Amino acid sequence: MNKPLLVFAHPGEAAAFLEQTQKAKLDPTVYFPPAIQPLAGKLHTCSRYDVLITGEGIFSAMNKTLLAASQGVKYSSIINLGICAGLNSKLAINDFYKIRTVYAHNGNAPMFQSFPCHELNSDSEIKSADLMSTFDRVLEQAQAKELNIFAPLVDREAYGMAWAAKELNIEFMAYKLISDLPYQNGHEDEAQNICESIKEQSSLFSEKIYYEFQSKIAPYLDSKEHIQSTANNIKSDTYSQLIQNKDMHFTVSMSKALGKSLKKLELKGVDLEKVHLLADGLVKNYPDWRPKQRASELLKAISEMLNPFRTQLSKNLEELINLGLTPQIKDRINIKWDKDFEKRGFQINTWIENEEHRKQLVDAINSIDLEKFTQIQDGNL
Amino acid sequence: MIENFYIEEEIFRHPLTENILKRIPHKNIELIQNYADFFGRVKKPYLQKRNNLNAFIAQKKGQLVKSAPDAYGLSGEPHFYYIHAYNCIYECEYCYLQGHFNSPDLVFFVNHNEIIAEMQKVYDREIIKQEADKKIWFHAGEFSDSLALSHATNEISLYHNFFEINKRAMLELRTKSANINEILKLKPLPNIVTSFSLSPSQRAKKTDLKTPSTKHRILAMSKLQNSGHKVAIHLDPIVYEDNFQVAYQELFHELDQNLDLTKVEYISAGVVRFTKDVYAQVEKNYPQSDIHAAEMIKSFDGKVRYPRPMRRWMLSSIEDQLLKLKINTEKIYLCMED
Ligand code: SF4
Repeated sequence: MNKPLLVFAHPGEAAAFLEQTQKAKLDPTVYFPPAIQPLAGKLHTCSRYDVLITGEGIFSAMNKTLLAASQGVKYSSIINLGICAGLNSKLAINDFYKIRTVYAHNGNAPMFQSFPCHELNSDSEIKSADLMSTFDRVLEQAQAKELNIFAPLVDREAYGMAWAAKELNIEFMAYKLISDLPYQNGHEDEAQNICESIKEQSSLFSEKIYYEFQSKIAPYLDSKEHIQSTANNIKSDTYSQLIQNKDMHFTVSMSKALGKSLKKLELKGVDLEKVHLLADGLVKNYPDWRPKQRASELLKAISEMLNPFRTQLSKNLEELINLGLTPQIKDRINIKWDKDFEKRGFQINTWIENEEHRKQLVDAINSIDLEKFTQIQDGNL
Repeated sequence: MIENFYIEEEIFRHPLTENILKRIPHKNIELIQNYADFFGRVKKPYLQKRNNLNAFIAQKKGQLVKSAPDAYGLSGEPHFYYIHAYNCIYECEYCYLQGHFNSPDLVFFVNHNEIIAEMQKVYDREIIKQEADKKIWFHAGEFSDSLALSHATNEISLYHNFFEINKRAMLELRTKSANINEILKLKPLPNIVTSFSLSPSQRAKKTDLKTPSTKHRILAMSKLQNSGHKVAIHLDPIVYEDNFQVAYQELFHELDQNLDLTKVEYISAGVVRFTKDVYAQVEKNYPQSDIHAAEMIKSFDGKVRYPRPMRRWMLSSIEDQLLKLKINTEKIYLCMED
């Protein structure tokens, strides 16, 4: 099973986790090729999770997370853990929060893009709030007041990590412990003292984060619900059974289409047993077909189940056309219409070699009841 | 429950502001200079409206009255809309607001007198261009439900005064709520119409999250009609389901039982459709919605819709049923886009 990557900005925040990685057996995997090693963050590893230290600031957090999570190991999720500041009087030091959405402020203005965090089943046990990552440290009251309108918590890295996770299509979560309250700070000296005091208390903060992680987050990371939500979202096993069926071959795009179609059937409340029956029927009745041909036929049948209206329309049009066509022209003529039915009318494709063919074509066109044809296309069934 | 109210300093003491604060429960209040510095400046996930909804009380700046999109053109008369608020407390799965603003937070505008002054200018300018029997229409509810919070926002009576004086101006208040008390307090006027968007009960239960049930909306319509107020119906959006015709038959039966349908001002019908962006938002916000299992296609104008024959068939089925109820053809508006 894939493990999560726990990402911290500072070694101090990660101290309690690093102790655990040292106690646990180290995984000998070499993550980074030599050329990349100087750029990479510090990565510690154990069997349950890896721990990455990115250093300070959004860009460093983004680069290091991108590198760590794109090399070799496939992570189930990227989880930022660490301390943050609280921007209003309702918040208290040592409060632990699940982050709902991560925003950023570049010093002049908020940045438009945001990153909603993935939800775990345990999250109702933890208070939640939004977080804003800033380019510079927030030390003063006035700044705190303005930022608080966007988000009540502030850090300097989560946005970069969330960005990297999005790029890599890995789900992202963030959990933060409040270490200081800059809205209480009067002037700069006082603010600097706060930074010192946070550093001094970092091991205590780290232990508290570790405790919260172990009790409220880790058990749910391994839970079945979580694993299911990260799979392809189809509740039943139908998808994997069909993909693994040796008598069927789905190309990459066909697999995607299959996943989407099965999801739609589920939303429609269709019993997926029907799909299994269809597949079994194809294998039994068409032993000479290639596996890809059967897969393609199965997709077609599912599409008909999902699009009964269009299927019926096509049948009605085909019947109408076949009414007038003579056997001689039937094999030589191809009549098409817009499969989405946005355009009225039809298109004829044929090859004319002689006068006989020309006459057959004219007869064929004349045999089609155009008024009835367009009526069907107008929804008069 | 509103998490934070952010109020523009200039209107903090405005009586409408005070009423909003009195009527809508909230946790905090903060004063700001200009709501536009904050609202929609970052992309706030739409579904955060469920547990972290903020609201702004502000003054609407810029163009206060705008020409209405074609879909409003019920009668070949000029149509305009004004904006009293942004966003909505309800959560219809198909709502186009989820792709429109970058935030679900509510904005209440309180400078209605300025909006009404602008309406007067538009009315005076337009009325001279029109033949004597033509009206000038104004609509509320383009970016928010017109009545859902009207007991708190308290602006309806201000607009009522305007329409009492300007007899050839028509007002449409579009709603999915049953919150009609503010209207019941007022004298019925022939040129104020409250229009209710309705779907069959089961469909509304599935899709119109947090709105009053279809039954309650119909009862509200009936109360209004019985007190002499004008009502209209929007059968929009119509969503296909296997028993679609039966479901609408039942809806029309319920309407017929509770209203004098011949006195309904108009009935419009439109089949569900989405811009590409809104559809993507619906997929993201409501992945389990059965709307995604429907036979949607990308249609001629890039919108996501049912195939053309299907939408035409659905609309004509609705029309047939309405005609059977003896509703005058002239009162039925089918939203056929082609
Ligand atoms: S009532 Fe209207 S504005 Fe409100 S959520 Fe529903 S569709 Fe959107």
